[in-house]
Amino acid sequence: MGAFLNFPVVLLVIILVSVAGYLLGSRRASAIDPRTMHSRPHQHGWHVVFAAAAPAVLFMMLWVFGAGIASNIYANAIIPDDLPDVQVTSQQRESLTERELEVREEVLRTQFVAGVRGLAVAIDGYIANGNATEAEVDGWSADSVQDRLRADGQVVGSAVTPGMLRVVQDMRQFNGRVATIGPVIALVLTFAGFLVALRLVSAEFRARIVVERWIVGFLIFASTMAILTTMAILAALTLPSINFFREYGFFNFLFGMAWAPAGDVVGIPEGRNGEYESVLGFVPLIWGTIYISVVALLVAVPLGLLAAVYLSEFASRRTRSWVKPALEILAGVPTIVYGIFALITIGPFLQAVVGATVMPNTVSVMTAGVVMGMMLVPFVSSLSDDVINAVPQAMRDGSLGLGATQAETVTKVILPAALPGIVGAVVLAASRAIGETMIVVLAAGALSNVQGIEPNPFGAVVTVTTRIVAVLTGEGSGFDSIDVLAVFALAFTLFFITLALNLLAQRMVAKYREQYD
Amino acid sequence: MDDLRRIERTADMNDTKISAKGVQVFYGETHAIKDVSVEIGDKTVTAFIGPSGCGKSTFLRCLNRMNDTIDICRVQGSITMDGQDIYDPRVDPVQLRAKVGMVFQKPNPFPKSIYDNVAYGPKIHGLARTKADLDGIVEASLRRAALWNEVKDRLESPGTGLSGGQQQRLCIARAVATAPEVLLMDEPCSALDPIATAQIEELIDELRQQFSVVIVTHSMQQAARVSQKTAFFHLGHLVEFNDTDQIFTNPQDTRTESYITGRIG
Repeated sequence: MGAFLNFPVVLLVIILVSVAGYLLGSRRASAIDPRTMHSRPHQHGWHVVFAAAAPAVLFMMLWVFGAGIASNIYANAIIPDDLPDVQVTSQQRESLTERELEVREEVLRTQFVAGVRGLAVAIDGYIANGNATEAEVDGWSADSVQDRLRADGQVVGSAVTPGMLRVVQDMRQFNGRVATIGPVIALVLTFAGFLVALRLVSAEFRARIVVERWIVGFLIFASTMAILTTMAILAALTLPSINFFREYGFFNFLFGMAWAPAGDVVGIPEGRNGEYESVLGFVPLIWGTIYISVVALLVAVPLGLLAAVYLSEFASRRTRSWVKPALEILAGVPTIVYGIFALITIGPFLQAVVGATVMPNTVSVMTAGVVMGMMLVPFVSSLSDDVINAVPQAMRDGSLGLGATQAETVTKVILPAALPGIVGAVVLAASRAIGETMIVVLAAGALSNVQGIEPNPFGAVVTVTTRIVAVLTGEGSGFDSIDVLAVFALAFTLFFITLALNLLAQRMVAKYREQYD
Repeated sequence: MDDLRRIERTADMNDTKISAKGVQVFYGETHAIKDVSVEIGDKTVTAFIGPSGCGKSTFLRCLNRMNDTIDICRVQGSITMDGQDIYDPRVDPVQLRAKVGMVFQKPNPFPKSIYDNVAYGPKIHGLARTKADLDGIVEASLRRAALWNEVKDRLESPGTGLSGGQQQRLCIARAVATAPEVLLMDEPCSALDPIATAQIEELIDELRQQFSVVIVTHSMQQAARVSQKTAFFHLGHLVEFNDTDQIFTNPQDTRTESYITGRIG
């Protein structure tokens, strides 16, 4: 039964039941004398639809979400404590304190669970390709698994140990049971709702009010969806980040002056047993990010602001009608295109201008910063144009009527009045610059081993975003190393920086709006 | 003494400050002002009355070339001020507007302090050499606008924080501070309550001693109270222009009579 009754099938059934429910509900209601009825027949029809579909769909969403969490908890629970995969080797054990040991083991566990999930996904893919049945998988032994899956093109991150395979097999059985029960409950809910709602059809029943409540509920759901997504992102980042901070040390990370993950080809030999150990300091990365952002803003803010002033105060209607759309088209150019432009045009050009002694590589702070500035010009100009246009015409008239020139009006009345909004626009641009990825990946530099900060604006730097890309797409690092955990911490920090900037911008713009409403 | 002043005033009133001849205004295809000729005397309050959309505000905005800021607006005919054609290409509208101040329908103080609002004009025209000069101009202008006593202790607080009537008087002080020769007022009381209106009207009467004032108003009582000359506009035409007493007691045109008795408009 499990193979046939899954959520897509249930969804199809729900749709059919809903259509039938609408027709039956409104027909039953039509039979009643309309003068005695509270609600119109089509409202009764919709009531049946909502009663049948909404609880079942909501249940399915919660079930799918909960099933993921449940399987995670289950997997964690069935890992035997003495499994060698989650044990620190006795050799290392000697040199660690009790607390360090605890942290290490927890990290090992997290990594092990990640490996288990990855393997489960690979096996699912293997079965979906028709290579094996569930029963066959349960009979597999650990040594052949990796080769089988790889032969089918499935991604297997880490080595498969017997203990891991055992856990995966258990977990998949658990998942299978969960996946069978869920659709059954959803179906029961659908038919129950359908029948109850149909019986409720009567002259007194206030179907319209119930339907309207459902609709308001959906509107609320739609508006909170984005917020929930943000919170989910935050939740997904928080746990690995906290694990990383515990393993590496929060202040070691935040104030570390070097970035050299062992997973990259060049690591720093520092380990007690001569192994490469990752050095993961935040300072060089945030330095690169801020340096480039500052250069970008130095380019974008004056150009964008002047463009906005020209467009809103001086340009004729005809000029404005083609310059403004042209600028906005520029805002739609994919950042990778800007990145290529930076790499093959601006970089060599800058190098030719300042010379190879100052600028050894074509990739540099200036290369990325200038091009990112270009990218932000339409962004700044479009936002500033909006706030400048929002300054009431009465201000311009008042100033011109006193015999001020247009330039005096702009500098002495309009820009001061629009200033909070303009600052808001600049802060928004800054948060975009900080989160920008493609341009810096191509044009800022790709060192894997960074020591300290680079003061030369024509030197190559690394940024937070480029390092996230490098670690997650790099060949050298598996998905289970501390380097990857560090990436979560980077993303986490970046999230908070941009969040803070956006909040700041929002407050400034709000303050500006109050003035003229 | 009283007689002497009366004679002086009459003499002043005979001086023409602004003279408009055959003025036509077009907004794109719309013919907004049709062949208007009017003489505005010095040290006189001239009121423009008429129903909404009759062109009185448009005509007012021709007198300081504020219509120049509207792309689609064209002005024909001649308007002279002290004998000088203000639409002559050699005339800089910026200089003209320094001589012809304007107060708008809705109070529009800048989002700056009260002091900076008044000091704005003198600063851009370089009327004050020192801070003390500027302080003097600001105080004199605020006094002239009958606002000094209310704001002298909070000159640094924002002009937008004042009440509507105070804001309008601030705008008058701001216009007066540039030492104009003519003051144009476009329905200056339409956004104000009766008390604030009375204060502004009193102010207009005092301003007359120094400036030529042109006021657009919807209120015929206001025109009767503050003006010496009244022009009645209807559908872009200047229907009648005469002494205010004459217009309200003995109108020559039937349209004027209909309007002031409330039958049209």
